[in-house]
Amino acid sequence: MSASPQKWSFFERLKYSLGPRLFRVIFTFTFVLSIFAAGIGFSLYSGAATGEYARTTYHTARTAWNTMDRDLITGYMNTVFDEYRSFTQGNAAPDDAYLSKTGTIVDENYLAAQSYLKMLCRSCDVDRLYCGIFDRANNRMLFILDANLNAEDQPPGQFISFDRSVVIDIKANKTTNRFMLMVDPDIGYACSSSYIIRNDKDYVYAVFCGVNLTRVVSDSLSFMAVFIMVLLIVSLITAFTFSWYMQYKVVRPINSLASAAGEYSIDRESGNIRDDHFANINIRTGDEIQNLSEVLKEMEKDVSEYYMNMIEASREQERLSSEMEIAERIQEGTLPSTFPPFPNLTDFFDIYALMDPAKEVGGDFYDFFMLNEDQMVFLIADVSGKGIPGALFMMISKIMIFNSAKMIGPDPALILEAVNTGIMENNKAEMFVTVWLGILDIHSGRLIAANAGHEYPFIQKAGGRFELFKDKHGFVIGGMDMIKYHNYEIQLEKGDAVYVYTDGVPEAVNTAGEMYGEARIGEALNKDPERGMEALLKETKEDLDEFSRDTEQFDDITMLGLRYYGDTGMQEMKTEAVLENIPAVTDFVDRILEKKSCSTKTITQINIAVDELFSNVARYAYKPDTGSVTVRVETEENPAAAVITFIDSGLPYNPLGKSDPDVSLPAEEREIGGLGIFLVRKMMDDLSYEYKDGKNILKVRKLL
Amino acid sequence: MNIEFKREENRLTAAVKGRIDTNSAPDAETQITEQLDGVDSLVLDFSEVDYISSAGLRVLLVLHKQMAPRGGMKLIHVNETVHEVLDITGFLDILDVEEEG
Repeated sequence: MSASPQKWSFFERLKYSLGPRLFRVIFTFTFVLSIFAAGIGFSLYSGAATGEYARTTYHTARTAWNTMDRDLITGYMNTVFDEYRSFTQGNAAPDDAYLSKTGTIVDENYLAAQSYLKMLCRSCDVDRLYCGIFDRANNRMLFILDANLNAEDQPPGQFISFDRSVVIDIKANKTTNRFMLMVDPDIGYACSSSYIIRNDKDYVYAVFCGVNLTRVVSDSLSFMAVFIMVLLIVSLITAFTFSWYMQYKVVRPINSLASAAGEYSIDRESGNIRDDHFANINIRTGDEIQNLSEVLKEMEKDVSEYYMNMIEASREQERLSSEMEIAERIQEGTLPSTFPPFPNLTDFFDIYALMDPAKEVGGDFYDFFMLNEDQMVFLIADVSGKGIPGALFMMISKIMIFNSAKMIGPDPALILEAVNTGIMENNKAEMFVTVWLGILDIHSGRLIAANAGHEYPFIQKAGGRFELFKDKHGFVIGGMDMIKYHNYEIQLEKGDAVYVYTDGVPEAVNTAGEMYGEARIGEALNKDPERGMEALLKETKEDLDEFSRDTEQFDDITMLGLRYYGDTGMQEMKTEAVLENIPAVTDFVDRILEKKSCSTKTITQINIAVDELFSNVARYAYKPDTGSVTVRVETEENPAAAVITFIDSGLPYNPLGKSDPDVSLPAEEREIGGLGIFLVRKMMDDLSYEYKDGKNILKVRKLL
Repeated sequence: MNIEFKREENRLTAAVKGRIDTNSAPDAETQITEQLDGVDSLVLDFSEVDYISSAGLRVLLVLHKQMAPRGGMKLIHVNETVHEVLDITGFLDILDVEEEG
């Protein structure tokens, strides 16, 4: 399967596509970096700002002390402090009695100083100036003279508890004039500095100056807001720019490569062959991606070329294999495969053959054909090569054997010699073939055979077992010039059988590497030696298959078997019932009788009978039309006899129904009719007639 | 079957060769009858006759009936088979057959 580019929905694209992802990463990174930078900036800024306020408040406080009437202020301080000390009642809040006592210090000078301080506040841009005493032990600020621009002034003597943490500097008994950040009880978050006038163990006399930091903080916050907005916009622009750049330089080229690759694979699958999928992409980024596209362009060309070659090669392969198939069929066709091969000779013998090629076309072959009316040639052969060369050589060998047999006649040795000579004349491939060839006289059972380097045959005689017959071997055909072969003869009696095979049978191996061997062939054959040839061969083959199960067959397996039934003597001919056919019928009968040792006189008598009986049928059976007649000749043994039957489908007519003519009459009174049948009756040993199934059946029997 | 004729005066010798059977008998009859003008003695030489069937017997009977008023017909050199046929059919009693050997 080829992969086609992922099809994404809009949201999936936002989530997974390289462009948006790059955008997100860059944006996040830029923004975090900016925030970090802003944080640093803000802390620097606020540090500077605080320092500035600290200086301003300190200087204002100092200026206030230096420009006021110090004795006057000190006097107020002492007066109020005395009252405060006398009022020491733990944590009690200041009450009206106390405050009215301390309030007595307010006079013209006090008010003038107060308004001076307020003026100073305004001119120095601070929010509060006051003279006070800090009670370290009680954490209290005792107000003496307060000038507050933003709220009601504290009356002299008023004191307030301070949060401990914000007054840590003073508490630590430091005598330097330091600013401090603290929450001013009246003006809120503030930066306050103190200019210390006197620093006792428990009380600090000082002028305090404060600036309301709420303003400062809100200034800083709005500054920060603007700053962050700017950073955000800058980050966005950076991310957009960068991701656009990446989109343009990386993502789009990659996408176009991916879609070209996708189309390529779709086209490939649908059989649409093009080699310009990548060639049409114009990537000019000048970087690795352009390199990649160039390489892909080249690669596609190469792959397409290779693919086309592959297709061509596979077509060629297909053509070859279909030719092989045809060759296989041609070869199969040359081997006789219709059984029984000679339907009118099934009473004489039973022949069967089978072949199981290891490859599509094998090198083994068998053949059988009638050399003439009485002799049948049967043979089995194994060509040294397999596959196409073996098949070609096999065809040549087979045809040569057939032609030589037809030319030379019933002499297996001479046939093999002629084939050897023919093949040696032009055996460029140095191939050879082993052949076992036998010629059976179907009437006498005489088998003449010769062996050209082939496996020993198995012979079964007289209802016994199949035995390996070690015949005289000649050299293989095609191996050497001028080879002589030797005929040997076996007299087959009724029921005797011959089994021949190729080396694929004994040399088949099992999973243990053992060969099937002649002994196992013998055992398989002898399980039931009396079987019909088809069953004998097929069951032997099954036994072999069982033996060599789970192993690869590497040689053709071919078997041929023949069982001789002896001359049962029945032969038939069918011919038109006309007088002109008498010689043909007579010849037919004579040919059969010639093989029996019988006297010329007997043959003549039978000829006369044929003449009389056939002419009878010809004249009368189909009158006035014509039809066919079947003449059957059967021979019998013990006693030797011939039975000749005439069968026609003409008018029912019993020639035996007439009484015999009087053969003692003088010539003048003689009638010629009826003499024929009379003659037959006299010369034959038995004569019978029946009308059956619409047929006249006339049968004569003559002892030989 | 074929026949060789030899004429000596009024004596005709017909030497028949082959089989005298259903197919050849009519031919034999025609050939011999054509030669019978003025013949008063007919000799049939059967030395080369293989056998004779009833059709041949009919020819012999026809010829015998023709020749009987004129001077007769004689069969010579009859083989065993033909002799047997003639014997079986009673023709030996009618025809003048010269015994072989």
